[in-house]
Amino acid sequence: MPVQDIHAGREAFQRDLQVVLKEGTLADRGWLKPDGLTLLVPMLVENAAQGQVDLYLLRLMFDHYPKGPPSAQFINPLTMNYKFPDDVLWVPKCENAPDVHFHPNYNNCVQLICSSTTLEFYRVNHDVKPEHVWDPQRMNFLTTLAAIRRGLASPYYKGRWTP
Amino acid sequence: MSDSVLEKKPHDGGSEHDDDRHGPKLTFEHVASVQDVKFRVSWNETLQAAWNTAYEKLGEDSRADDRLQTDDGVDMMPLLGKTMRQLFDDKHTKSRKFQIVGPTGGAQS
Repeated sequence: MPVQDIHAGREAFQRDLQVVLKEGTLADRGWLKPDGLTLLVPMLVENAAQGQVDLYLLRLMFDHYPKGPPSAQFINPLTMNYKFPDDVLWVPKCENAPDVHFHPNYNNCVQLICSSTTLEFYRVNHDVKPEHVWDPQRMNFLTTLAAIRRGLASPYYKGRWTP
Repeated sequence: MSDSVLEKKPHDGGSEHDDDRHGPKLTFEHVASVQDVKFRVSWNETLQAAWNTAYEKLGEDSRADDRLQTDDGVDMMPLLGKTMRQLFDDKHTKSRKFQIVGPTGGAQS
C-alpha cells in the first residue's frame, strides 16, 4: 500500500500537470485545480440509449502520488462531495469493460473505481496481477484518466446508477 | 461568431479541404511518456500503419502489451486493419486523437 506524502504529491502533481498541459491551460482542458493536491475533471459521456450526453465530475487527489496512483472518485458537482446513497446518480454505470468497473458502494464502505490506476483499488486490497501494479516509471495520472475513459465508452457505458 | 472569438478558435494548420485531398490529420498521445505527435496520413493507410508511424515520430519502442484507444476511451485494437476511409466513413470513430496506453487491471463487475 503506497504511503501518503503530501509534499512529494504536490511536487509530482505540479510537474506532471505542466508536462500534460504543455503551453496550454487548465481551462483549455476544462479542468479545475482547487488546491495543490486536487484536480477536478468534468467528463462528458455519450449516452446512446437515451440520445443525450451525461456529465460526471471526477476528483483526483494526489497525496500518495507518484509512488501510488491518485485517489479517484466521482462526486456530486452541486455539493462537491460524495455521499452514499444520495449521490449514486453521479456515478456512471459500466458493464463488462475488461479492466475497469465503477462501484458506488464497494463492500458497503467506499466508492470504488475498480482499476489498478486508482488509490482506492489498493486501499481495499483488491487482487492485482504483477504487471498491472502501479508503476510510477511508466504510469501517471493520464493513465488513470485513460483507464476510466475506457469504462465510459460504448458498449460498456449504461447510464447512471440509481438510488 | 464574433471576430474576436474566431481569432481564438484553435486550428491545426489544416482544413477540411486539405483532409479531403491529402487525408486526415491524426494525433497520437503516448500516455506513459506524456508526448504527442500530429501528422497527416492518407485515406488508404491503415490504423496499424499510422500507429507504427506514431512510434517512430515519438521515438518510443512499441511494447507487446500496448493498446490503442481514442481519447474518449473507445478500444481501437479490433480496428487496426481498417483504413482511414473505413474508420471515418463507416463511423467507427469520430475522434482523430488516439492514446497509446499500457496494460492496467481491474474487475469487470
